[in-house]
Amino acid sequence: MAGTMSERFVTVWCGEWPVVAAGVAPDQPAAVFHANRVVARTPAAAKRGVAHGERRRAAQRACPELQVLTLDPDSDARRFEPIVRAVAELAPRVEVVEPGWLCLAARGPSRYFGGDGPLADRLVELVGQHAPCARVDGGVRVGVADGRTASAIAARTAPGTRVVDPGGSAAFLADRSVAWLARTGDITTDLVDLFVRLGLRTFGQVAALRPADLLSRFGPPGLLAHQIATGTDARLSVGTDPSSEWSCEHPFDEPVGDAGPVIFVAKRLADDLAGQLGTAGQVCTRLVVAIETEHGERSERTWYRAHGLSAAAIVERVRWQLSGWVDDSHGGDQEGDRPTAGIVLLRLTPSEVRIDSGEQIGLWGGHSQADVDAARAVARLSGMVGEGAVRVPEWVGGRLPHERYRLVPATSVDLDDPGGRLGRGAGPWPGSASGPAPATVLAEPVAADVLDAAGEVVRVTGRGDISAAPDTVVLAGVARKVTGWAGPWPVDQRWWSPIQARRVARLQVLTASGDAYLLAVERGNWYALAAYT
Amino acid sequence: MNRAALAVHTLAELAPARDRCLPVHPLLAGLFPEGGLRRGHVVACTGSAATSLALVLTTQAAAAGAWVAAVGLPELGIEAAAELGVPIERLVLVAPGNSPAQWAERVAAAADGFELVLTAPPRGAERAGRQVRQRVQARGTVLVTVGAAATFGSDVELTTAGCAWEGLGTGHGCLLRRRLTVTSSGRRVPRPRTTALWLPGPHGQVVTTDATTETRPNHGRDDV
Repeated sequence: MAGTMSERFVTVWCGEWPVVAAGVAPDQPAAVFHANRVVARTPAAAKRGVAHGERRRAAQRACPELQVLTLDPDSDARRFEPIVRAVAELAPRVEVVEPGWLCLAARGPSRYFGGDGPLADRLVELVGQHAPCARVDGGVRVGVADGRTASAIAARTAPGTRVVDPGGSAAFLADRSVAWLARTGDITTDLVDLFVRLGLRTFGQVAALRPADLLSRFGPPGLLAHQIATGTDARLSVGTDPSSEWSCEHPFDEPVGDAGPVIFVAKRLADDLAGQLGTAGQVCTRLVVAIETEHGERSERTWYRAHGLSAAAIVERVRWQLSGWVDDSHGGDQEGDRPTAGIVLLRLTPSEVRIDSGEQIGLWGGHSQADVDAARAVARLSGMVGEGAVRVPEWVGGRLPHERYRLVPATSVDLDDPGGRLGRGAGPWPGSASGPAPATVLAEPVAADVLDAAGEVVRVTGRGDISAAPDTVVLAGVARKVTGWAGPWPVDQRWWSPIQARRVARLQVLTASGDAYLLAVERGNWYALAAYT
Repeated sequence: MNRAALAVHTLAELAPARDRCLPVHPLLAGLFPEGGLRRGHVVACTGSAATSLALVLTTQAAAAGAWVAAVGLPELGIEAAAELGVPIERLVLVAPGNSPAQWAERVAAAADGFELVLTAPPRGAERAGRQVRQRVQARGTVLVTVGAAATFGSDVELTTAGCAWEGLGTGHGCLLRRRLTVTSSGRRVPRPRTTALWLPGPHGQVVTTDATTETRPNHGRDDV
C-alpha cells in the first residue's frame, strides 16, 4: 500500500452531552429528545432500558418517571465552550465537530506531554474538571489513532481512553461495522446502507478491495472509505491553506452589543461564501470563525464537519460560538474572557475545502427549490424573532382539540423528515369528537357561560346527564341564542391517577348567527375550546 | 437602464400566465378571473368561515410543494387544516409580535421564503401593511388575510355568507357539514362571482353542493 500514513488525531468525546449540558444528575432518569426520539439519556435512564433512537412513548413505557427534555443545541454549545477553551490552552488547533465532540492533532501536544497515553489522561482529567457530570461512568472518552475517523471511533467504542498504536488503525478498524462511517459523518447513511447490502459490513472487507474499484463504483466517498479503512486517510489537521480569497469578513461601523445583527451579517457572509464555493464546485469542511470586539478581545474557533458546512450550518456555528462567548454564565472561573465591548468584526475563513461530491436534487422527493427557500426563511425568522416564535405542529394525540397537536420550534426538528413529527398511527383516536375538526382552536380555553331558558347555569351530572337544554351562550361578554346543540360527551381521563385524573364534558352548540362552538365543562365551569370558523 | 426598469416591475410580470398563478382548489377556481391565485396578490377572506376558506385556498399549491406560513394565527386548527387537505408538514406558524411594525417585519421575512402566507393583520396596520404589500408584490408571494378585510387594500376579496350547519339537532347529532356561499369581489375582479360549497363537507374536506345534495345528512337518528 503506497498511500501516505494518516496524521495522528486525538478525539475527545463527551458521551450523552445533551443531558450533561442540561445539568441533570446522572442518578436521575432523564432523556433528551429530538423529533420525538431519544438522542441522549442519563446512566440511570439507560439502566432502566431507555435506548437511543426510541420514541418518547416507548421510553416512557420503559421508565414512567423519565424526565423528558428537549434538545437545545444552543445551550449545549454554550456549556461546551469552557471545555473547548480549556483544551485550547493545552493544545493549538482544536476543532469542534459538534457540542460534546472535539478533535485535535496529536503530534505537538503528545510530544509535550510525553506520549499519547499521558496526553489522553490529561484531557480526561481536564474535561472532568469543567463538567463534573461528564466524568461519571466514563462519560468522557478520549481516543488517539491514525486519522480523524479512526480516533473518533476509538474514543466512542470504549469508555476511558483508548490509544491505537501508530500504524495500527487498519487492524483496529478491521472488525468494526462500516455503520461508523455514517455516525462520524464521513459518508452518507445511504452509501453505508448500500455497502451493507453489497456485503461490505466491516472496515476489513472494505480495505480488502482495490481502491480504484471503490473509486470507480462509488466516486470520492468510496475512495475515502477505503482510505479510512486502511489507515491512509491523508486529510490533515492543517490542510494547505485553501486560498485566502475565500475568507470573508464584515467590519461593523458601530460596535454591536446584540447577537441579532451579528447573526444577520453571518447569514449574509455564509450565503456568499457557500455560493462562491458552490460555483467553484467546492464545499467547506473546516471553518475558522473569528469575532473581535472594540476592546480587541477575540474569539476564534475552528469548526469541522466531514460532509461540509452549508450556509445554515455556518450560521448555526457562529451562533453557538457567539452565545458561548457572550453568555459565559457557566464558564465560571474565566471571567476575564467575556467580551467587555461591542463586536466590531466578524470573519469567516474556510481552512479546508474539498470538492463537493454533490447531492443531486432528487427527481422524486428530495429538496425542491421551495424546500430550500422555506428552510432559509425559517432560519432567518428564527434568528430574527427567536426560535420559540417560529413553530411547526407535532402530533401528540388527545381528545380535546388543543391537546391533539403541539407546536414545537421549527429549528428543533428536521423539516425534511416530518414522519416522526406528524405520524399519527393508524385508526381513529378513541373518544375524540366526531365530525369535521374546528378551524379555530383556542390555545387556552376561555371562560364562558351556558344558561338555560330560565337563566340558570346548565349543569352536567356525573352520569353525563344535562340539567336543561342550553338556551344562551355567553362568550366574551356577548350573549348568543342557541339554536342547536349536542352532547354532553364526557371525557374521563386517567381516572386511575388521583393527581392527573380529569373529567370533562364537551358540548357542541350552534348559535342564531350561524356560528358553531365547541364548549367544555369541568368542575361546574364552562369554557370555550374551539370555534368552527 | 431606466427603460428596462420601467418595463418590468416585478419578476412575476415576466413569467408566462400559468406560472403567474398558484393553483387553487378546482371548486374555488371559478372565483378568480385567472383561475388561480395570482402571485403577488393579496386575497382577503372575510365572513364567519374565513379561516376554513383561507386554508382551502392553500391546499392545491401546498400539495404541489409550496410551503405555507401562518403569521399571527396562533389559534389555527391544525387538525382542521389537515382535514381540509393542507399538507401540514409544510406549514410553519410564526408568532405575530407586539406591534404592527413587528408584524410587518415578520410577514415580509416570511414572504421571502414562502409562496403562501396566511395572516390576520393587527389593528392599525395600514402603513405597515402597505410595505408588506410591496414586498409581497416584489417577491411574487400570495398573501391571504383572515378576518376583517385588510385595511391596506386587497386584490381579491372573498366573503363567506349564508353559513348553515347541518347535522346538529337539539340535544342530538353532531356538526357534520356546513353549506355556504363564497363571493369574490375587489379591484381585480371585474364582475363579482359566487359559488356555493360545503365547507367543510362530511369528512372535513371541501365539496361542491351538487355532489352531496343527494346524500341526506344523518341527524343522529333516522325517523322511524
